[in-house]
Parts: sequence; structure tokens; C-alpha cells
Amino acid sequence: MRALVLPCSVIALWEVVGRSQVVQSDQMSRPSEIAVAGLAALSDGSMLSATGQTITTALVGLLIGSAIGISLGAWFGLSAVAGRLSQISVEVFRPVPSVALIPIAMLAFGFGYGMGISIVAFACMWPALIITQAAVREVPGELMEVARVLELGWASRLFNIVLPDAVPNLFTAMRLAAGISLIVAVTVEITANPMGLGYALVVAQQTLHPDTMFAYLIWIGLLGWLLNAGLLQAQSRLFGRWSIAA
Amino acid sequence: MKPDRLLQNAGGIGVLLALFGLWAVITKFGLVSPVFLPSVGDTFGALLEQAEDGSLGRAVMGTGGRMLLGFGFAALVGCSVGLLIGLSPRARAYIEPSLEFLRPLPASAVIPVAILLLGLTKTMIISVIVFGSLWPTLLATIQGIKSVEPRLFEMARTMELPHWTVIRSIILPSALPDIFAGLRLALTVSLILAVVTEMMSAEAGLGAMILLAARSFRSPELFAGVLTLGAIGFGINAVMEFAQRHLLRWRH
Amino acid sequence: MSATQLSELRRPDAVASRPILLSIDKVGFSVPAGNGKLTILEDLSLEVREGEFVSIIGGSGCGKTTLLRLIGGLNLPTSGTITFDGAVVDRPSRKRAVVFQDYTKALLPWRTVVGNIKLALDSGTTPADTHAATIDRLLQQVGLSDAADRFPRQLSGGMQQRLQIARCLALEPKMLLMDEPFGALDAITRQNLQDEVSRLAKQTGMTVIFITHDIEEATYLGDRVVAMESRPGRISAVLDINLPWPRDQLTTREDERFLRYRHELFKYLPRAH
Repeated sequence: MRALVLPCSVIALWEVVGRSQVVQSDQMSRPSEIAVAGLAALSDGSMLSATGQTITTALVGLLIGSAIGISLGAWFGLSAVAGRLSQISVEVFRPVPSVALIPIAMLAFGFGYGMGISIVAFACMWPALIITQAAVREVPGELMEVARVLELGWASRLFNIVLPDAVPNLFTAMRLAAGISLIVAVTVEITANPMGLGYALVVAQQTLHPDTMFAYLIWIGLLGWLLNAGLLQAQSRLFGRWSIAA
Repeated sequence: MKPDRLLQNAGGIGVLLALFGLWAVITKFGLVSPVFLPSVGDTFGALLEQAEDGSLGRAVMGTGGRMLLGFGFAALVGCSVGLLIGLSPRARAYIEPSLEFLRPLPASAVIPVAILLLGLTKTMIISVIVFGSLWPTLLATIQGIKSVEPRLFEMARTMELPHWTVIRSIILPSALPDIFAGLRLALTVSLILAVVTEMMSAEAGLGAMILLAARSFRSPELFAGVLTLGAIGFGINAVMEFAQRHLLRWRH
Repeated sequence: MSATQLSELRRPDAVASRPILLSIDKVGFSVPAGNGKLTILEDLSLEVREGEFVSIIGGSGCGKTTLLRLIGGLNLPTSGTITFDGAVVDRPSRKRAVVFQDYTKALLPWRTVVGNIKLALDSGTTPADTHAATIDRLLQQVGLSDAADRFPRQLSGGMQQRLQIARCLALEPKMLLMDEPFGALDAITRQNLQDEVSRLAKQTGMTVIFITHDIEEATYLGDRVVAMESRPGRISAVLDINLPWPRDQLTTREDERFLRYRHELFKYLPRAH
């Protein structure tokens, strides 16, 4: 289990250095203190309610953003004309950093779920759009030939041929977007929005509680990792027999 | 440019202009309050003013400068350390799992930690940017080296190629596509972190500028700043795309 | 090699007088497996003379690729020794150039045809100002002069294999080790490349060890054919091929002697059960 050597030695070293009082105690905490603070936050419900807020923001934003992104992507993928005409606009709007929209969202929605959800939606929309567009365009020509021979209408073509072929790639798009949704939600909370895990992190920092702060940091890391690992598992279970789009 | 492509691009630009036209129409008919959505004219007016009095230039230099500094340092360290780790299967076995764990971590989550340790200083900002850009670069470099075709190593042995030649002529070119993808990601992250850290520390820059504008309800300046950030993002993307197409032309 | 020497080489009995270049002495190769070990090669002995073209045939899994890798120095035998040009083989060498079966994977995709050959020349001892001329010559020899600036991706399978051969020749080896080099190519390309390799080998006096599962290819190209059996890999027969040089795809393959060799070698191929 060589994988654990590095983290374990880091934690051990950290604990030892912490006990030797080299760094001030209002800036740094030992792993033991962090664990204690983390458990405290969990048991008094504050960590869980913050988690709930962040996840709600991320999830709703993800659903809205990917719904828009997938729809537009499917449209641009299926209609070559729409795809060509939209390309420049997509290239112009996509690179806008989502965090740049925080002040706008602040004006429009004030603090709260609206701000977080809108920015998450913006951020998730683009990867969903691009991957869906590529996935739909890449439906093999032979399958489309089959559709033509069977004289399928556009709806039937969409649901029976295009979507099933594109679904594994769509799942990849969702997986990437899900990761982004969590990151963006936390970022918005750290920067401006006074709710959720990001805000809890900032509050702990501002009130000089490094142990709670690190506890939240580790918790956020764990969440991200679990989300990613979980979705990868799901993808290989569902589509393992097909192929995994990396 | 072939006539097809010309038409395509013209059409695309037309759509973009139509969207701007939509913006103009919405504000003209007051469908949205000017507090939230300034008119096109006011926005570009504000942009011009900022350009003239130098505040735009200073803001761009501030944000851009810190972003590039942090990214540059992270890219250098990430690639060289990545090379060392990538070449040693033992090092990879110990280090890779921990790196994979760090991959989904929101880089912005270390900002409060950095503020606690370093205060609201430029050092804090650069450190955060370096931290955020380091991991994509490191991971991508390791990935690139891992995926060098093994047959090429055997070929190198039969040709008795010296170690340094193998690294320079086989490993690095082979890993370049992955490394480049990592660098593009790192660049995106560094822009985001530069903006966020400014918003939180009020260092002179575009992030601080637009936040201030929002708080004072000066939406034209806010939108001018957002447009500028969008332009920076667009510019970076265009440059990287061009570089990628040139460096990796053997793939097409 | 002078013209007289070359024409002498064309006589079937000429090779017997040349010095021994490669000596495989009671070589065995096994790998750990399960509770014990898996013996891939056992008690192989063979001598190859300078200028000889030796074909090695056998069914899949008989260890012929392993044998090639041992000769090349990519793996070490677990018993016995291989001697090349007076020295024991314990590592790969530019003198024993290897032409890999999966040619696409053995070429550098980011370099052009010229660039790939340059890799071999730059790491050698020839002066840099001679490289351009050498590359031109090699490209002519393998027929790739028109494709000098193309990337491997833009070449057909046959052209990629020819590029690999050219790159190996740039090493100025004493021996060419070819691992089923034409297996993945279509019949017409295969025939063309057979003739090209044959011609190149005889022109330069190169010693060649050529692995194939195709009896006819083995007989067509070789001065000798070594037949191997499987599990464990052993030499079951060595046949001297007394056919005149240069060989011809039509007439040689109709030659009565060719058909007799083919008939003889057929016995040593595994049957499908």
C-alpha cells in the first residue's frame, strides 16, 4: 500500500511539527486538532447544513446548465448550419471566466441561492454544449444511413439512434460538468456568497479557527474526490459493456 | 480563405452581432433595469474612459501580470518535477495516488488558508495561483510520460541511444500533447484564481474593479470590466489554440 | 563488397566459406509462472555465417520472436550463450538492428521520414555533413524519395515498414533482425517488399535473420530455413535452400526445388486440431 506512505508521513510530520510550536497556533493546527474540530462541526450539524447548501447550489446549477448546454449542443450537432453559425459566438462567450460574473449575479440576485446557481449554470453549460455537439456529430454515418432506410422521422431518429449512441459521451459530459459544478459553487461561496461550505471555510479563517478551517478544507476535498470516483464507477457499471469515453 | 469558409465566418459574425443587437434592443426598451444591464453605449463609454485614464491598463497589468507570473512558475516546476516523477515508476507508485486525490480539489478552497498564513498580500495571491496551476501541469506531465509508446523505448535500446537523447527526442515530444492540455487547463485556473484573489483582497486588478463597480451600482463599469475579462480569456484561448495547432501539427 | 565477391555470394555454396558471425549455443529461455517456470525456448543451437539470409518459421507461440529478442539483446537467455562477432551478447547493439513487427509503434510520429532516419544518424559516429547524402541514398534504396517530408501518419503500411528498414540500414548494422515484418501488409505489397529486402541484403552482403510464419516467404527469401516447434521452442529442422539468386516471384516459386522445399517444410508446421 505504497499509496498511503506519502499521506501518512505528511500527517505524522505535521503533527510532530505542530507539537513543537514552531508556528503560531492561530495560523496552523495539528492533524489531531483538525480531526477534533471536524467531528465537532459534523456533530453540531453545521458542517452538514453547509454541505447541503453547497450541494443544492451545485446540483440545481448543474441541472439547469447541462440542460441548456445539452439542448444547444444537440441542436448545433444535428444541424450543420446551426453549428457553423453558432461557432464564433460560442468561442467568444465560452472563455469568459465564470467568476467574472459574480458581481453581475450579485446585482441581479443579491446573496443567496440565486447567485450561486446562476454562476454554476453558466460554468456547466459550456462543457455540456461542446461535448454534446461533438458526440452528436460523431454518430457513425452507417447508423444515420439505417435511419434513412427505415424512414424514421426526426424525433424517432433522435431518440432511437442519436441519443443512445451519444449517451456514453453525454455521461462523460455530465461527469465533467458535475466536477465543475462543485468547484464553482464552492468558489462563489468563498468569494462572495455567504452560505455553504465555502463560506464556512472563510468564516473559520476570519475568526482565526485554523482547526475548523482545515477540517472544512479536507471535507471539501473528500467530497470532490468521492463525487468523481462515484461517477466514474457509475459510468463503468452502466456503460462498461459499451465503451468508456475518456 | 475558401468562399465557403468566408461565408461561414461571415454568418457566425452576423449571429454574434445580432446578439449584441438584442442587447441593445433590450436596454433601449427598458426591459431590464439599467442597474442590472447597462446599455451598449454606456458600457463602451465606460470602457473608453477607463482606457483613457489608465485605470484599465493598470487593472489588466495587475491581473494579467500576477496570472502569468504564477502560471509561469507553476508550469516550470510542474513540468520539471513531473518529468522526474514520471520517469521513475517507484516515485509514481508513492506519489500518484495522493496527486489523484488532489485533482478534484477546488483550488479556490486554499485561498482562506493562504490568507491565514500570508495575509492579504501579493505573495498570498501568487502562492494561490501557483498552487492552483501546479497540479494540472504536474498531473498532465506525469500522464504524458506514462503514455509513451513502450515500443519506442525498445527501439531506443536497439539503437543504443544515450539517456539524454531518449528524454529529448522521444519522451518529451511524445508527452507534449498531454503536457500542453495540462498547461491550457492551468492557464484557465490561474486566470480564475487571479480574479478571485483580487476580489477578496482588493489588490488593484480587474476582479477588484468589477466588484467595486457592483458595490457602487455602477453597472457600465462593471460590464466594461467583464467584457475585458472575457477578451483576455478569449485572447489566451486563441493563442493557445494557435500554438497547439502549430506544435502538434503532426497529429493531423 | 566488390562485384566479384557479390557474384560469388550468389553461388549457393559460397556462403559456407564465410566466417561465422552469430553463434547460438544451447540457449534456453524460461520465465517464472505459477508455481514453477514456463520454458519458452530449450536447448537451441545454431550458427549463422556472414552474408547469410536465415529464415525462421514456426507456429504461433513457438518462441521465434523470443529467439529474435535474445539475439538482439533485448532479453537475456536463462541458459546458454549467444556470441556475435566474437563477443557475448548481453545488451542491444547498433550492429544488430531490429525491424519490429508493429512498425507504426516503432516510428516517431512527430518526425518526418527524413527526421526518423536522422535519429539513427545523429546518434552515430558519421560526420554530420554526410548525413543528408546518406539519407538521400537510403530513401532511394527503399523507394521513399518522394515521401521525404511526410509524417508517418501520411504513409501507407508498406511505406512505414520501408521507413523502418531504411532507419535500420542507417545504423550500418552487421546483421538485420526482422520480426514478421510483412505480416500486416497486403499480398502485393508483401511481394514487393520481399524482393526489395532480398535485393538490399544481397547487394550489401548483409546478414539477415528473418522471422515469418509463411513457409513460402521463408523459402523464397532464405539461404537456409530453420523450422521451430512449440512448447518448448526447439529447432526441429534446418534446410539448406539451393535456389539461384536473384530470386523471382514467378519463376522461383514454380521451380521444382522450391516446391520440394515447401513440401518438406510443411511437415514441421503445427496442424489445426
